[in-house]
Amino acid sequence: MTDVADSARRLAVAYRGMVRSAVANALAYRGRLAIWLLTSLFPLIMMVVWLNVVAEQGPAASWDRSDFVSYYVAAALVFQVTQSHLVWIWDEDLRNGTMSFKLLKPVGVYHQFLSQEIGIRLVTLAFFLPIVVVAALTVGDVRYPVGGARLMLVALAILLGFLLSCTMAMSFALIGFWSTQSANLYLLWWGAGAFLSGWIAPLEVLPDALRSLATVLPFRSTVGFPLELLLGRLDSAEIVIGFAVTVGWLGCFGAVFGLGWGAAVRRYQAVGG
Amino acid sequence: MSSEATGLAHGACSRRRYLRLLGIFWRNSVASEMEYRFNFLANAVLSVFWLAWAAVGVSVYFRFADEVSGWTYPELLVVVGLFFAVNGVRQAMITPNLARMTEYIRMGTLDFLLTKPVDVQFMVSLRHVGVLNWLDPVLGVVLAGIGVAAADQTLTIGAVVAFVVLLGAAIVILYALALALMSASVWTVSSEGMDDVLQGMVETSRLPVQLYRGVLQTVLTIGVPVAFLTTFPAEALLGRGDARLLVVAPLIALVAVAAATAIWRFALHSYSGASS
Repeated sequence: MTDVADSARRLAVAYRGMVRSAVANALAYRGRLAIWLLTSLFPLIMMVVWLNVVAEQGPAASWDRSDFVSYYVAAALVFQVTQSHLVWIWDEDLRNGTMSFKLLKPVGVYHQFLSQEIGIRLVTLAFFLPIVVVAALTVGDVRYPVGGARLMLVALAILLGFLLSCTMAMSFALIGFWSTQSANLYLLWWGAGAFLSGWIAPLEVLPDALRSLATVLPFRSTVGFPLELLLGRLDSAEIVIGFAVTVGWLGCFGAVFGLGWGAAVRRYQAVGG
Repeated sequence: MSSEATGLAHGACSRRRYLRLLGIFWRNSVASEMEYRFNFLANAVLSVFWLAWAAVGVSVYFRFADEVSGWTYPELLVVVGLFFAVNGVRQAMITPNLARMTEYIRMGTLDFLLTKPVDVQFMVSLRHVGVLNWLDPVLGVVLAGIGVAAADQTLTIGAVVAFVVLLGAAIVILYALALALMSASVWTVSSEGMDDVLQGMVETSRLPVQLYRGVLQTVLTIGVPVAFLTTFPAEALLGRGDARLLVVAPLIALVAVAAATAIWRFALHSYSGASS
């Protein structure tokens, strides 16, 4: 028992160090600002189009101006947290041999990538969270009808969405041990998922068939579910189902990664090896 | 892009020389990318996928409206198609060069390029070409054609000529924006994020500027000339373009290239080399 506690403590210490260095890296990288700008552009563009539709034709599927503004302001933050370039970084590491160094470290590669992602997200949140909070307090159209307890659930949903998207990305990254097409396959997966996640549009304005499908697939957990929760559009049963689906898929992809990782390491031949 | 080579060269003899150089450079770029045959094929599949993705994606708005800000779904497809064409040109001709600026400046390659008997702006901005996304412009124009047909428009020769002139101006404007960003990286010692900035600008041309309304529409028309990239060529193709643009757009393109060239020269003047 002390062994387990001991290794958990050691991992926590390792995480603290790795996340701290990832934060320092993220702060030093000037290009980050441009990437933020680019990623925030999509929700802005989509919001503006919906505002036109609503202004010209009236509410779309009972969503009015305020609903769309609230959705996309928070979406700007959620997109930043749950979209990642992990597959591309992983692929690059495999190509240039950095993966060999990562394998040699006493901390698992999974932990190294996850702490890297956490570090980047902390910097991003420090920038975007104040914007969303200020918008919620000052812009009349931005309304989040949720109290303290519900906000905790929203934070939990975003955290689980982040973990799920990282685990999905890492499962696809494993393909890189066999093929050069891991990033392209991930793009196909993400692209198809964009219609089912709430990225293309809030799921409530999409056809019913897509919405039902989205409820049981993993994509909604990374965008739509936390946002619908924040906008107060879900009842207790829907919240329970949402969390259950998220945790279920997290388990599935965790298992896929766990099994795949063993095979991948056996298969791995380093550059020059 | 021969018009830019023309601008750089002096006289017919050197114009031919630059065109020949461009031919050699691009053949070399294409050959080195074609080594990865499977990747080439995979990117073609992705091009088709993203085009369908974008076309289906914008259809969501039309579940609730027949037209948005004066654009019907088929008409919007023309703009989406042209966005793919312009973005494909960006990925093929601009990204490969812009991405190399960091290396040119950090490693001192720019010093080396300055000593070559070829115009350095030509070398820096046009030397490389990427072919992985070659299908994007082709598919984009095909989608624009489908949009025109679905909008029940008959193409007149005048509309096609206006479209070609405006799309040509769009690509020259894009080149000018890229050259200005390259100049900026001489000062910032890095082109990190520069391609993202350009991608952001082009990305806003995914939809017609009328959809942005108000201040944003004005900014995207006059401030950053995004409207010139896709909206105006699409309107020309749909036979409802403003004839005055046929003069204004090429003029703006020329002014933009002249301004960007001046900025580039100014940046080079303040460049002191990698080792000093």
